[in-house]
Amino acid sequence: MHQINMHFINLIPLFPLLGAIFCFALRDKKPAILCGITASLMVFLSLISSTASVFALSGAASPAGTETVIVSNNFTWISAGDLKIGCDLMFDRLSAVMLFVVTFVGFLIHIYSIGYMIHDKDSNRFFSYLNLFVFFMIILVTAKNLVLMFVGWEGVGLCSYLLISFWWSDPANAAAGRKAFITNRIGDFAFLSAMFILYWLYSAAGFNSGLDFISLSENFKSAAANIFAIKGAVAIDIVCILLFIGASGKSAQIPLYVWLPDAMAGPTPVSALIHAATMVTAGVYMCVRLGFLFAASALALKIIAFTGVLTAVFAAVIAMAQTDIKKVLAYSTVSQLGFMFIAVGCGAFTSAIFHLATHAFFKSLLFLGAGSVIHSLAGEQDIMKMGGLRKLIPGTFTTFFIGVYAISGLPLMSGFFSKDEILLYSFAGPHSNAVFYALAALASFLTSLYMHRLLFLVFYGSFRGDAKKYGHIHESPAIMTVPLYILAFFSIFSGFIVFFKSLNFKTLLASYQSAIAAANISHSAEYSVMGIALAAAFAGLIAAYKFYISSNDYLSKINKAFAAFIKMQENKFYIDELYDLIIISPLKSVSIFLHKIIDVKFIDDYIVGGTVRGFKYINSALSDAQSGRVQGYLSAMAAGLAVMTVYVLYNSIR
Amino acid sequence: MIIGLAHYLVLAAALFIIGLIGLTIRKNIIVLFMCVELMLNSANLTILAYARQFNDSDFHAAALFVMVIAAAEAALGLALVVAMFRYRGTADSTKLTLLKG
Repeated sequence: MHQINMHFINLIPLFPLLGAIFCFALRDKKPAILCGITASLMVFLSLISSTASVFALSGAASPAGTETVIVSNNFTWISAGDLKIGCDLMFDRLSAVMLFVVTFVGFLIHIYSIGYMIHDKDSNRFFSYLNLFVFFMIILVTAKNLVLMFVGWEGVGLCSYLLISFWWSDPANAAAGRKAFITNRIGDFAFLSAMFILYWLYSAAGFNSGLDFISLSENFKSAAANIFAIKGAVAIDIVCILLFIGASGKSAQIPLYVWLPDAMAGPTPVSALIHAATMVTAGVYMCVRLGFLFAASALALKIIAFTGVLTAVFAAVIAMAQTDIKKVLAYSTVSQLGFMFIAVGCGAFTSAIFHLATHAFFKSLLFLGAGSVIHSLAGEQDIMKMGGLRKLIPGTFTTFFIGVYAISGLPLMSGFFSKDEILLYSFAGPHSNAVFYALAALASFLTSLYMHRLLFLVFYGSFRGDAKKYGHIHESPAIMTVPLYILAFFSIFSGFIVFFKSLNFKTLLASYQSAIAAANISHSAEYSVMGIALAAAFAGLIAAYKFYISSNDYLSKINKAFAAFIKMQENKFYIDELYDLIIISPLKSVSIFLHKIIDVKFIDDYIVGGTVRGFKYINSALSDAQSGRVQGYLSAMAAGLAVMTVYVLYNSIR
Repeated sequence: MIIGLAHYLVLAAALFIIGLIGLTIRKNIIVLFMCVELMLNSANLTILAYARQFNDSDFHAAALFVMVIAAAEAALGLALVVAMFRYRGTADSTKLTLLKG
């Protein structure tokens, strides 16, 4: 890998950090608009710096056949013996894609938030957290080593927690924040363990890597040979599986997905930025960044693809029965993240990042559109109380429509290209599997079905809500609709990037992809997969049309026939209740036991209290001895004297 | 029967122990005072016994000194007892426990 030193890239995370500090300092002050503008400007400056870095990267001459990467070695952060971990950043083509998504979508969402949050009394605090989030996300995607990446990883988790429970005075929101934080801890524990094992393995193989991505990947071939010889092939499998558990916590995969639907308690721009476009895709990014590692573990790839496919179908099934507009989108996000992991598991890392980028556009578009709908209906989130909004809020409708079409994978939208690639690789890729393909196609059908259900219920038919509210429905202000238009533009056209050979998207991640043997995919396979994907998308559209627009007979018949199943579906298959039963309640009883028996009774009463009582007893005995009666002292003295005398006499006689 | 050094010493020890026992078990301060005098005199007797045994006239003089000091001490001690009785209204040593911890 060809490295160029350029400290310029440090500016990218610097701006949002300054913005966060500025807004936090002004959190109790007026005017709110100042912080909104500053925060947006800071993210915009980040966008400019990362764009400039892209030009620097593409302009740099590099020896043929090697990939160029800009690095900035700032300072040694941790130094312990041989281990040296730097606070260093790197910028390669993978970072460039991620940074574009983070800063560009982030910028649009900041702008949108000015319109959405300006009337909130804590909007300055909101912008401070939002900027802090962007800072940590940039650290995550530009970190040069795994440890610094973990800092970003935890930082975005913190911001997610702060923003989910942003309206903390409602206990439900605070509980949702806690749930997200605690569920993520499980994944983080696995991530940390993987890091330790990875360092240990490289040291055992004779490489002092400092967990630096560049040296990890460059030394991987020779290190792996040693690792296999010393520890066996299973060592890599364990590391990869642990890393994936970490990724599945952050990216909401089975079994750790439960926090994401609850995370919708936060303000809608947060759901769009953190819980749809950027943070939840960090797990996918991490898997791709360490792609050279995953490529060496067929077992881990199989587990990833299996989990992804299961999550994609399962979440899509739940999404179909939800009535909260944001919950539908949340389960849709879980399902789409499943698609990305299918791509990772099938060895198609580029497709995973491609879908990540297009998903970031259309899912944040859908969330912001949902926010605009909620805004126009003064806080109503139940889609059963919406309907017929098409004419009333045409701007939101048009963009939402585009978002739905993009995510459903209908022709010539971005989702069509990216999802088609994933399906193609699961059908004919290096790690393809017929079962994965079939389930992925099913999930694709379900995606189209539930997204059109949402579209039809919200925008078509007639208004089902409170008649009094009907008159008050109004289109959102331009500051909210303009970001929607821009995102809609990208939702349509970002898929066409595959046609621009000069941008070289196919080989974007060549160095990561090359670890997996290139697959020979015939054109006939390509077209048949595309045909099936299209058929699935249109089938979803038609089914949704039949159910929700043309006639309700089918729907009520199905509802009757599968009443028990639909009841379970509406209750999210009781997964939360199941977790409560098998994890939370036992944990609670153990905690209560520890508290009441071990802590209060044993430690507090016996150990701490016992020590106190012992000293009190000794104290009272000693203070009784000081009776103040001279004769008592004299008796003791005489007795002591007598003993001494006897002792001396006894010794002298012997 | 020749009365030797041992007899004097046994007598002195007996006086000392009687004084000590009296000092620990009696309660009246005057009696305690007398017990202390008894112990002082037993010590004096020991000094004189050894002085005769070793024919050393210095210790005769020392015994005389002790007697003089004892007289002075008795005057002072009795005065203190009287003053205390006036102040506290009792001569019972078990009631005088101001230094109790």
